[in-house]
Amino acid sequence: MTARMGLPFLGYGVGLRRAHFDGIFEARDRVDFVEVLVENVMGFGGRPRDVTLRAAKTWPMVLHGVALSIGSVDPLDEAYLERYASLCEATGALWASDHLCFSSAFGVEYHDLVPLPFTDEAVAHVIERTRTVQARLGVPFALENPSYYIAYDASTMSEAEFLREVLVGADCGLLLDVNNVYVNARNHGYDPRAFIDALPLERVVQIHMAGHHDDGTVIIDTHGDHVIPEVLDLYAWTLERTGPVSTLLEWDNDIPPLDVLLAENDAIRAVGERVLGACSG
Amino acid sequence: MATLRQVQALMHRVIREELPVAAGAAELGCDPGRLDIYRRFVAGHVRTALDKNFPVLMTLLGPERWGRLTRAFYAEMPPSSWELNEAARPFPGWLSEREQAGDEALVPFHVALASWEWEEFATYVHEAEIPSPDALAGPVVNPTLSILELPCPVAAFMARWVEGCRDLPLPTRDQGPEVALLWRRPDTGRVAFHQAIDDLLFAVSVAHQGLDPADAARAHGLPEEAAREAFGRAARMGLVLTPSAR
Repeated sequence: MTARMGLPFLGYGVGLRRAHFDGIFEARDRVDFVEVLVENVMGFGGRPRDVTLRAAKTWPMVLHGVALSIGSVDPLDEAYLERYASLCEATGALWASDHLCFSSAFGVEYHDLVPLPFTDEAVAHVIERTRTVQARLGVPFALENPSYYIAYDASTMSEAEFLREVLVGADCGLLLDVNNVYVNARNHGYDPRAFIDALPLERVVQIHMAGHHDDGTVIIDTHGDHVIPEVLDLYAWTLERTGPVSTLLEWDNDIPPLDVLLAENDAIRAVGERVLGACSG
Repeated sequence: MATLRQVQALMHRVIREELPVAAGAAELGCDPGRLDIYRRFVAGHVRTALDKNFPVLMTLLGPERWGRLTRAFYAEMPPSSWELNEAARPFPGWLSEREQAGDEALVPFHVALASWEWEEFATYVHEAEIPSPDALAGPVVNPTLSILELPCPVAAFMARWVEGCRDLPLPTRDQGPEVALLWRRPDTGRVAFHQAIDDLLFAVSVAHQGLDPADAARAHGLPEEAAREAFGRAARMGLVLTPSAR
C-alpha cells in the first residue's frame, strides 16, 4: 500500500451526511472510506453519533473540521480541541484536517472560511498553533487550501508560497482541494497547474473534490453540484504528479439522493484508476 | 503593512456590519463586491440555522416578519459557539423579550413554539445514551426526556401540524399553560412528544423512583390495572425503558 507522510492510500470516499444516514450502509462496497465533519457530531448524541460510530466500524474514517480557526488571533478553543481529540479516539480516525484560514475572531464565530493575509506573521502564527493542534489531537493533522474570494493588500507572498511555508514549518500534511484550486485560479486569474506545481506535493495526504457555482463574475465554492470536467482533468493532472492519494467527494448543499452521490464517486474513481491503474492501492 | 490582527479586525467589522463594505474594501485593498460575499455568507449561515431549527414558526410568521426578526436577531446576538445550531439557542429567549416589549408581529404562542422547536432539536441530539433493554436491571426514565413548561398549549397544535393540518387557529394564553414531554425514541432515534398527562407523569414517577407499578398504584390509591396500563403505555412510547424479558 502506498503511504504519504506515513498515511495509507484509502481509495475513493464520500463525506458522511445526515441525508444519507438511512442508505449509506447498504452501499458499503462503493465507498472506500468516509469523512465526517466534526462539527456535525461533536456534542451530539442520538443518531448523528450512533451513525458515525457505526460508520467508523464499517469504513476507514478521517475527520474534517471547519471551525478550528487555525489562523485566528483569538486563543485556540480548548473545549473544542478536547472534544475533537475525544472524537478522534472514539472513531479511530486515521487523520484529521481543517482549513488554512480563520473562521472566528474577537469572540464571534463566522461559520465561514475567511482568508488570511499571506504574510510572514501569519505563517509564524499558524505554524505555532498547528503544532499545538497536532499534539492535542493525537492523530496526524492536515491543512486544506481553502477557496477565497478576496486578496489583501497586506499579503507579501503568493498563496502557494504561503501554503508551503506553513506546511513545512508546521511539518503537517496538505489536504489538497482540487476544486478550490480551480475556483481560486479562476477567481484570482492564475494558472492552476503552475499553482499545484509550486506546492510541496510530497505532503498531500488527501484530496477533496466538489462542485461549485459559476455566476459569470465569480465562482462560489458551494459543494452543491457535480464536479465539472475541468476539475476532473485537474485532478488527473495532479495524480500524475503525486501518485495515489486518498480522494474524497464533498457534497454539502442541495445534497442529492445517495445513488447520485455514489455515481459521482464512481466517476472520480474512474479518473483515478485511469491515471494510476486499477490496482493503485 | 497591516498586521494579522488589523486585517482580522477590519474583516470582523465588515462581517458584523459595523463598517460599510466599501470602506472595508478600501482599507483592505480588495474588491468590495467580493468582500461583500463574506458579509452575506456569515449572516446567511445564522439565518439558515434559524430556518432549520424553527421551521414551523418560520412558516407561521411568513417571509416578511421572519426575515425582519432573523435580521434583528443576527445583529443583536452574534454567534459565539463553533456549533452552528448553537447560534439558534438564544432565539426563543430573545423572541420572548421582543414579545413582552410589544412587538406586534408576535403573540405568546410564537414564543412557546420557538421554545418547543429548539427543545425538539436539543432532544434529537441529546448526548445521553439510551440504554438497551439488556443493560437494564429495572425500569428507568428515558434519559433524553425533556419536560417543557409552556405559557400556552403547543403539543396538540404540533400533533395536528405533523399530520399535515395547516390553517390551524393559534392557541392563546387564555387556554392555560402546558407541560409537555419530549424524548428521543429508542427504536427510531426520532423525537416523540406528548402533553404531560397524569398517566404519563405517573409512569415517569414510578420509573424514576424504581417502584413496581402495583406498589405505586397502592401508594397513590389507584387501581392496579390502570397503573399497569399507564406504565405499559409509557414503555411502548419509549418514555420509560424496561428490561428485556428474561
